[in-house]
Amino acid sequence: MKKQPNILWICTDQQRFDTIHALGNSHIHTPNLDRLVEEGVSFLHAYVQSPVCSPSRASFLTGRYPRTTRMRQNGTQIPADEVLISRILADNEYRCGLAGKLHLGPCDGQMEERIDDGYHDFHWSHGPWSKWEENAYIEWVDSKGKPWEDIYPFPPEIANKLGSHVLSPGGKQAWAGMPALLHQSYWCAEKAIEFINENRDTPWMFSVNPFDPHHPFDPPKEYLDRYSPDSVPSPRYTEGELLNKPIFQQADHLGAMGGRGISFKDTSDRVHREITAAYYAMIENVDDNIGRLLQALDESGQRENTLVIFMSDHGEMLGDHGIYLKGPFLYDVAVRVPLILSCPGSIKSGLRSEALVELVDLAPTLLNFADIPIPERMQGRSFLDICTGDADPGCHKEYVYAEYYNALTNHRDPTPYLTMVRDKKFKIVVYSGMELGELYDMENDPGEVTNLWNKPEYREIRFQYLQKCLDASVFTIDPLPKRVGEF
Amino acid sequence: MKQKELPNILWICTDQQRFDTIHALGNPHINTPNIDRLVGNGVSFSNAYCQNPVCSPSRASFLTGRYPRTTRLRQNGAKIPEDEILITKILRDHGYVCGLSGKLHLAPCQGRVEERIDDGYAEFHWSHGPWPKWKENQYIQWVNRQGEPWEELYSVSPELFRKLGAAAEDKEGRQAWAGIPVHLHQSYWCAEKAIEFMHKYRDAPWLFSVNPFDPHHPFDPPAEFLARYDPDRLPPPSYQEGELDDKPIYQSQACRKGASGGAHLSFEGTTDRQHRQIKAAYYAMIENVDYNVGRLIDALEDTAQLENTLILFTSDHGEMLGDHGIFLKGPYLYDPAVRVPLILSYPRKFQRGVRSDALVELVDLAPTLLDLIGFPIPERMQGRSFLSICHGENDLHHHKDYVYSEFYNSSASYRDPYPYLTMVRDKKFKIVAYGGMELGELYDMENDPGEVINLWNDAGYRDVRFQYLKKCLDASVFTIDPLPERVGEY
Repeated sequence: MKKQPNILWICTDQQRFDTIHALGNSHIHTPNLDRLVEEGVSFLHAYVQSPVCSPSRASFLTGRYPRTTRMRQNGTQIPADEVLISRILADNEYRCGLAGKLHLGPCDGQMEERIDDGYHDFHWSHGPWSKWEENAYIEWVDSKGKPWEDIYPFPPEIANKLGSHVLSPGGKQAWAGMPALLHQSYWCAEKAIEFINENRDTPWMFSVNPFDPHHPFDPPKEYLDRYSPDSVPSPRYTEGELLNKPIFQQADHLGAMGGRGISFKDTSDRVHREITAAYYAMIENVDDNIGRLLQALDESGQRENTLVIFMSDHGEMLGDHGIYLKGPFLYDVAVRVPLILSCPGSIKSGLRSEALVELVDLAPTLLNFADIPIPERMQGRSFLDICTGDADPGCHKEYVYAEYYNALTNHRDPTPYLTMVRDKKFKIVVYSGMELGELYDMENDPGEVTNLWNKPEYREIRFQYLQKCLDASVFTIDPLPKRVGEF
Repeated sequence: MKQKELPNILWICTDQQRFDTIHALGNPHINTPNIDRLVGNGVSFSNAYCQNPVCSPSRASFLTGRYPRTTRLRQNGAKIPEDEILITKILRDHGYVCGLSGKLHLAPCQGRVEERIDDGYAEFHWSHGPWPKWKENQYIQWVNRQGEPWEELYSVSPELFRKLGAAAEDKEGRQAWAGIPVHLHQSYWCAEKAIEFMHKYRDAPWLFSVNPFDPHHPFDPPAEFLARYDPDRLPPPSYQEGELDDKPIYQSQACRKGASGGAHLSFEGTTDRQHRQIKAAYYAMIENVDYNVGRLIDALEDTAQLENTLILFTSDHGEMLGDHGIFLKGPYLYDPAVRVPLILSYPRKFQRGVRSDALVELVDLAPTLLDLIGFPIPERMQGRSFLSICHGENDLHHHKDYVYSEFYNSSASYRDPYPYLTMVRDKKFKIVAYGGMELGELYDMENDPGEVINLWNDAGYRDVRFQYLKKCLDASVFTIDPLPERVGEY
């Protein structure tokens, strides 16, 4: 009897949707992702529910909206009564493993506390630096001969702070980091390959959660050398575009992450492109490791019975709109992510779906795929029927939702509470407690340059979309506890 | 505060009592001499709002100091999550003895006793409602011990009663009738348990929740109080023919087909006389409650605890009582449904005979009590203490800029579509947004306090509508759980 399908779930960190060659980026080289595109279903309009790590991950791992999981900020602990899909899979005979990040609890200065998450094999490495003694990746590097601290180009007291912002001594924004064969992405794939080979006889799920391409922008030298800043485009920024936009954008234009990080304004176009080059190089490094994973599946005869998922937890501003990294910004470049599902023979190959989907739909989809009932608590809606060709790939949801509710510590007075709804025509972002919001015509201004919020001719639209926004916010309400009687 | 100085709290919370049912606060048709004493001795809030117009969500909210959707008990018939913390638990943990008589309703009660979380009540005299549907109903047990069993006292046959649930019509089609006599009434029993408790715990700081079922329907006051009211001398409900035409569908359905999704009485299916009979019975029930408030105050005096006890009088939500052509409750956030009486009498420390117009939310009550006692207000609470108004330290007429209320599929009786209402009301306007529906409500509360004219589609109010819809979304966003607390940057 054929066993339940395996799930190889690759989730990078902070990867924009427009970083895959086969899906339209001519400047980047991603042969393995291209293979997945050819051999799977690509969702071109996949949206996260938060532009920040923990809330986004809590959301897609539970199939519930961030505010409903109550993990809507970085630096908090997911409530113990939340149920991850890995727990549900484990309860259904799956062996679950993870390498890299989980980030459902505070990780600053400590290893995250785990809830009953269902992961049997847990190779934890929040980020590729030595600040945590429990960092399994660092242990692995150290075991190879030279300790990590002697290899990384900056001393640990500096290196260990770089994940929060990218101002290095000397002001470089991009540099060569660990060599490819000692890189965290390599190690994550290594742990996955071991697991894949060890668990051939049982259905398994493995989360490959590398830190890349999250800043600092430090790809292996051999990859950095492949990308000349002259051959990558400049960020998309229109001078003056931020003048009628909320204050947080103007602040981060001067320095990312509330002022501490890289300043778009104070860096040259050349440096902007150095950053983009480094970012692309990190992604190509990830891509090569995906190649190793696919090879392992092929060689162990498990490719046909494994659903490979490729996605990211949120995007990266990368200088677009004059802003770097992330924050209270719900532009597409921050909230739209790659999403590819590949399982040749079980779902379509070479299918590109323009449907609006939310990452919160992923968990229901996976349960659907594994023939496991979807619990009442989940709020997403399965899009498996698109993957199997049984539904119109052009339509899943009418709109997608995202939130940023004081998710980082970077801004206060005012404190950002953002709610976004985006459909095929417009995107609205409402800033609670503030008057100014954002309204973009996504059909005619997909670059989200011109804010229509205060334009008199858009009053009607603005009202309609404000209504959609309130509705979407109300509909994130917890389905539990269930009503068991009339009173 | 030193242990001896900690005030006792007598928390009287009726069920389904409108804000406009107190004589001293402006209703000339009703007699409430004892609640009037509280008004004369304390601080009355004339703009106090509950956060949900139905029982469980409202009670979960004011007992936790958190908004209904944040407690996750936002529907009747659901159970409050165990990690929610009631103020009674906090008080118990700080040395208070807490007791209750009557309703709690933080878990399903239909056909079962509600399951309790660690609620802090050491004495729990449970009686969800005054009928023998539950064998654990301590009120019914008490009645039966007094001589005649309840079934012989109640003037409507229990079989019919059980079939109609908590219906408001008997087999003769009456909407109002005489019920249990005064001294065997559930309100009497609730007060009795409170009085016993007051005697027993003179030496400890205590809190007692007096939670009678009245004046919740069915409208069945004791005969002697019903006899005091002449329906013909009471004003009819406030309803204007046609006012519901441009309002959301639930309202005209209630008016035509009946309350509770059509299961109960309808405005159009009853005569003007019957409307007034219902009002008469409703007032009579409140007068019966008032009589028992008198007994409670007297008992405090008798036990020399009056000076050291904060008496809190309020209700969990209102009653439409035919206003806007609607009876009972449901997806309606009119003032009659969401505005409630709120009186705090504590002459030792609070102002006396003072009326505040400040907009306050019942979710502010728990923080206020903790503030009074001097205990820290936990991060999880969302309300804001209005103690300074009670002390006369702040602007008497200002607390919050707006009040919020919600109805998120809170009752099982409504569907197609399921109602998801969000309300914000400030001094000038009230807006009610209906999730997934185009039509909402917008009222000019200064010029149309009766909420007759819906300005939602009025071209002259586009700007106001937009501004208030934004306030509504903002209010909804700000109900977000303060927990879990952030402990680090990432």
